[in-house]
Amino acid sequence: MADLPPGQRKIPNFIIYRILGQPKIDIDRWRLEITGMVNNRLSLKYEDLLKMRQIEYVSDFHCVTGWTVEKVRWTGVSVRELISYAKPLKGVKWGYIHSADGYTTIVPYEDLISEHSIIALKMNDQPLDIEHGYPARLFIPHLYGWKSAKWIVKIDLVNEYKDGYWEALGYHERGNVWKDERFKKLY
Amino acid sequence: MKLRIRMRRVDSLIKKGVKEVIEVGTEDLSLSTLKDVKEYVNYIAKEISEKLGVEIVKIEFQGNEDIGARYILYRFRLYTKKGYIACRVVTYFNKHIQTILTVGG
Repeated sequence: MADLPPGQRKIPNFIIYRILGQPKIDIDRWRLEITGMVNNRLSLKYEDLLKMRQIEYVSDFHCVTGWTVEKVRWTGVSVRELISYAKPLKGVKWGYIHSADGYTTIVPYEDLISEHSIIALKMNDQPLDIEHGYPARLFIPHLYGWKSAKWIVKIDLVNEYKDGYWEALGYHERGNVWKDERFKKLY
Repeated sequence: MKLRIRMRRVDSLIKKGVKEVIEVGTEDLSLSTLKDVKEYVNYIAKEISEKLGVEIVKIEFQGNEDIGARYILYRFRLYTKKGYIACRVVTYFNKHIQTILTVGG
């Protein structure tokens, strides 16, 4: 296991944030959509995701506030693979992420389709708890947790930057944990 | 003090009742103590008051917290006669890097 990223400290369990409240999920109506600059817009049910090839790995979770939970086992669908089915157009630069609670965030496209970026369906071999984003959350290990949106419902592929929730409050456009990218510098 | 102030509407905070964000950047500004931060907020409050055309009647320090080992976030409320403007000042090794104010609807 590599050392902790700069400015992080280990804690034994997740702190739960629900900045816009906890959404009620009707799993029969829930969909994950891939939209925007694509040739083939996708709308996937939970069971569609469960039928897809699952990838699994162990990785730490880093919150921008400074805590890290080590050695979490993540299981889910590769975002790169998922987006390939949507046939993205040339020129995509960002993925604008929407959650069921109205939360939004934005992720650079190269990070969104990076090797370990997944739509997580399980944590530590169990389906996600509602508090951790059931039925599905984004997880990108090298970015701070606010980018790994819980209760994800849509990935909109776009070529222009637009602030999500925390980005509008000054948090970084990318949020790479190894580069200590917590806040934008305005001057 | 040279300030760069930008006001803009944001969609992503509407659910929180925020219709407008004001970003304030400064050239090299050291904020080593809470007193420094309070003086700075008092200073920008005058600028914001003029820009928005509202009277700020009271400034209240809400608290601060570490964000990682190098950043500190200070939260204030700038009270007007009708409500308040939330103010978040961020420092990196005690240097100001950004101030974000949020204005409700």
